[in-house]
Amino acid sequence: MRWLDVERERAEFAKFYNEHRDDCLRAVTAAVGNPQLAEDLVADAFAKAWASWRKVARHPTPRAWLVRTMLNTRVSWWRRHRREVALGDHDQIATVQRPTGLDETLLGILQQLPQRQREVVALRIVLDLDTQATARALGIAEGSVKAHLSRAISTLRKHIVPADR
Amino acid sequence: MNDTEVAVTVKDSLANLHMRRSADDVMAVGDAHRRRRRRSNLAITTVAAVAACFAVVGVTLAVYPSRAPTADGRSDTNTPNEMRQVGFTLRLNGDGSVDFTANDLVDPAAATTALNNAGIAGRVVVHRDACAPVNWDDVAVVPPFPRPKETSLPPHRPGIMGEETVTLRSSDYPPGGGLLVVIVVRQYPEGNWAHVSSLAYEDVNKIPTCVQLYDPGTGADPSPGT
Repeated sequence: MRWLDVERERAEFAKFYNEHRDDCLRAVTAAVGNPQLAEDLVADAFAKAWASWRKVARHPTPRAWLVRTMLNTRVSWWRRHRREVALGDHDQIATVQRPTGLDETLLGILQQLPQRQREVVALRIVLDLDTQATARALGIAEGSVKAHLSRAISTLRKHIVPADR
Repeated sequence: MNDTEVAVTVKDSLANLHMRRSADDVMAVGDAHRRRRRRSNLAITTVAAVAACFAVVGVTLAVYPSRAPTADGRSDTNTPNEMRQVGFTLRLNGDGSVDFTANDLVDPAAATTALNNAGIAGRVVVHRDACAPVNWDDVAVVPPFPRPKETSLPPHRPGIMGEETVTLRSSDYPPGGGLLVVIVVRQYPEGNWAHVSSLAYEDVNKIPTCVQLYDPGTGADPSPGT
């Protein structure tokens, strides 16, 4: 029945969200360099996925759909919505909380890469997508994915200081 | 450092990042998005219906009588057409079948008229708990609705599982019979969800004007075999 379908879909989506939210956040953070913005984009993309869950659930690679949505999305209605509901404590001074345990140095190095290289790093390295899925998600050729990844790793290697030095 | 070590370093640097929003938070935003979309669709449908009232009535009167059922209740139409009103959409397919979609609360009289004009004998009613249950002795349960190939769900008791859209054919009921089309509207936080069930009756005159598909006390399915 319909109400059982809705409950089943909610459970399916919650499982999907809990399995992939952290990976997606890390990938988008690598791509955009700002963990707060990345969290907004990830939440926005997942909310869109839930709004169209019947279609997204049938997608052959829903995670790739999500990543593409995240990378295509600008600051969205999620942020507007958050502002709308956040006025209750308007008399308090806002503080920006940076997530703890984040390697800001490496994040800075990543931000020096060209955007496309960052996106390839996000999908290939952080999200562990294969070359084909990465190419499909970014709308570029597989050869371009390999070339961008090779250049990105070469640049990162020059800047990353091994821990034992 | 080799490529693998670089990749591991990148992954490790991000490993402590975690989403702080719960699935419920995200779904709440998605639900709001879905509500806005439904309102927008309803507004479009309403505008279409109002426009239909003023502009299409003449066309409807001119077109639908030519698709009136023949003596045995079968339609001779071959041209796809669509009639949309607030609450339901009726689509005439090229093979004479009719797709009936419940979008929200339906005016049963208007829906019945539209259904009959499309060549399907029978009646559209809205499920009400206060009504009597279906008298299964009057029901010709062939074929089951919705047809198995039209749903991904496993086979179920005929006529009870609703769909947003059902395809109705004059061949679904015997001569002299008709279809009972039941609209069930359930309310959810994100809006109303309407679904349609259909039952074939041996005698069109025995189709009830008021019916309930579910036992209001237990929610049990009253169909045979339960």
